[in-house]
Amino acid sequence: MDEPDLNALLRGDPEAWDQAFAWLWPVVFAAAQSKLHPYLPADAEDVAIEALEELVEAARKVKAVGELRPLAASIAHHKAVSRLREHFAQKRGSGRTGSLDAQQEENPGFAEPTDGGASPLDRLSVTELASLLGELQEALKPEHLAIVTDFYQHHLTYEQIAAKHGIAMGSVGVYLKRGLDALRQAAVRRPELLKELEAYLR
Amino acid sequence: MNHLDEERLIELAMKTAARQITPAEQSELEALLAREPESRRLFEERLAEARALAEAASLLNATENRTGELPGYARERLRTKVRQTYGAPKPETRPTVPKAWPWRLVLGWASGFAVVALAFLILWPQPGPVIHVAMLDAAGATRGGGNEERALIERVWPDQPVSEFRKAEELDAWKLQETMKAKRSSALVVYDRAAGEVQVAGSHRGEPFAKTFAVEADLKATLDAVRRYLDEQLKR
Repeated sequence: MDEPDLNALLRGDPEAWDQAFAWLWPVVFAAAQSKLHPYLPADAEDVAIEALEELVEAARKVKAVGELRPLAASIAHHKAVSRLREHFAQKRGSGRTGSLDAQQEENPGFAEPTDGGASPLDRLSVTELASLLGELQEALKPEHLAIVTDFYQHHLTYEQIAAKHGIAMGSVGVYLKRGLDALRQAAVRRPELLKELEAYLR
Repeated sequence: MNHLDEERLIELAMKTAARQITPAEQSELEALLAREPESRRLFEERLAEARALAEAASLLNATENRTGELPGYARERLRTKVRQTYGAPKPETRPTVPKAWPWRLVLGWASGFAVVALAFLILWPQPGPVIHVAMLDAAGATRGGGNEERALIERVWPDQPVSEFRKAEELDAWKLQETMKAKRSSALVVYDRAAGEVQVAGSHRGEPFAKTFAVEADLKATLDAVRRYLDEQLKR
């Protein structure tokens, strides 16, 4: 699927938008699903469609078509987080929509989502998050990202990762730490992310 | 805290974030934090970063995902949103450059620190010439004298607005945009400070004209010469 023409999108060209929706669907659906699948897997499709709707307006601020994918992922992520908060608030009957971590502290039986639960990224604006993703995309080589993913998302051990990627056990920790360093460097350049990381610690 | 302990603390923070910390490692972590209370802050920082990284990695993978097809039932809903947001589709407008413009010259002008004067003199149907003045400072504010030179330009064309640019591409886009608006007769004047010259290009009654003026003695004298040249060209 080829990327759409940004000028045509901004003119409201229906064919260009059809192309954009097809091009971005895998992104928004994957982003929504990664957050929702443990609890609300059936909602992922709906959230992904809502994300594309919001993207139609948000695209006005984009300067290059390549920015659309991280922006779409960020919108879908934030919508999925909101959906989860609403879900858990309703489930508890309180109508409160606090952070997932706070809810877990108040209610030990409240299961934290398996993808790591709330993260400091939840508090960034959509555009800030999209910008951070763009920067990390450049900083992390695909092989680094694969190792980070195996560790944090697939929950593989150092040994399993080393075997899977054909690298030494000691290198796994090095790669993971490089990922952390990349995030820290991005945070240093982004006062808003630093602020959110600090807020997350309180 | 020594370097080895710090490295280990970071590793334990990553394992905590990934929920891969073993009971033995958990005990080790607690012992480490008890022994070095000031290291708790470092641990929590790395834990927060590791959680942010885990989330970001998930989203980065999503941005690379290429599989999956938009559900058919969503198409019309999304098309409606496009119509509501952008209205009826607008026809494509390709930039059509007036034939009489020497565009290779106009758009090929150098960047660098420059003060740019863009003059569009629209003789008809407007009663008099309209001059737009722009300043380009690609080198930033590291070189002095920009304000004085801007003031000189404003004195030569006192009724014209002055725009400022930092990038040559922005200037080119603006030149193109402004020229699209120009009707019949118009002129473009660029003072390139780095090159030490003023370049003029334009069109009057379908006839193109262009000339480059070297800034030898002072800018004011050169701008006066440019003004005389423009008067001559636009009154033919």
